[in-house]
Amino acid sequence: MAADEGEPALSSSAEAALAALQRSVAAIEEFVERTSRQALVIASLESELGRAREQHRYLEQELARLRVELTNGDPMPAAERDALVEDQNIFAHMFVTSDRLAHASSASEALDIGVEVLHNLAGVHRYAVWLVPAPGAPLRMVAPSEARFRGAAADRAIVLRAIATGRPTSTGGEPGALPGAFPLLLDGIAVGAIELVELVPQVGARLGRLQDELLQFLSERLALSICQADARGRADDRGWIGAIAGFALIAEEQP
Amino acid sequence: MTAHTVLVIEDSPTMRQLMSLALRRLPGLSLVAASNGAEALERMAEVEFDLILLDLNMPVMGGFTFLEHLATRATRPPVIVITTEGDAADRERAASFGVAAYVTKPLRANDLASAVTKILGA
Repeated sequence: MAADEGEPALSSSAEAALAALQRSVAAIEEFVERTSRQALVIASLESELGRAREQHRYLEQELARLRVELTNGDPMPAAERDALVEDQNIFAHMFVTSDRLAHASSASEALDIGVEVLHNLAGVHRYAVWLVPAPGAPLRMVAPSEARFRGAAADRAIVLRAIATGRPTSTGGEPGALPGAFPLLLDGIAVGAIELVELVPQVGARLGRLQDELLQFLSERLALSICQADARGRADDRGWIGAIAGFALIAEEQP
Repeated sequence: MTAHTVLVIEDSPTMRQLMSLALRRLPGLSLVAASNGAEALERMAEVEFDLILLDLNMPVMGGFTFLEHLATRATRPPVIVITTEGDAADRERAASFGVAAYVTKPLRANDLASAVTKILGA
């Protein structure tokens, strides 16, 4: 083998030792680089750990605070909570009934809404709505139109008693018992009655709170709503607007 | 609750208003109304619904006929049946269509809200 001039020739063992040394240097450099990368990762993890510890401390404090609140607090008893939910439910039903009746644009629509309320909201399965066309005149059944919802054996005496007394009546005088009747009042005078024969099975055999509240509401409002809707239906839009304009003028003239 | 579109199939405007009131407190819920099954199928051609609230007794197309139509579809939203009919035969028939829940009238506003929340995932 010819050696370069000025450079001593290396023996093959020296070349191998040099190569090994170079590999070691490269390995050490790689190790140093890796270590510095790991140092960065460790620093980042330590910072994250610090944040996690802070978060943990905060959550521990919150937990302790909530435990104290739970111990010292006065949680609502289940019966009270149920009554509140029931109240909300009844208010929702009454609001919808009131709103729908207020927007009826004819007497028949007001009556249909009353029927919808009885059937869908109160869960009354068989019933009849009676009106007295004139004092002393025979009762006229104005709803339901479908025979399957009519009371098969109407107890006319209960209906007549509700109209005569202006108060709800029921079999044996027991509140909520069926058959029963609620008078339809107009300025405190009974002009008809809702006769209740049967409720849907899921409600049971007696009126519950929801049914009682809704029927009281219909008793006081349905006849009035029928009259208001009838007047509204007869007046055209100009008539309505004219009535409001007239009222505005009168109200303005008041001292 | 994320945004969901619910189809209310009910012929009674009073019931529709009550359902709307009952579900008002659930955020992100948008209700579309149909007064019978046929109208509901038209709405379903226009909009993809996440849930259906279905009455059984309706004119034109009742709840069970609507469920038969729905069963032929490849994808169908869950259905909550809301009905006056509380008897076992109707419940079983509704169950055979795989309805998600069966709620009877008179409606308890809280029960409806809970059933909807449970199905759509709060």
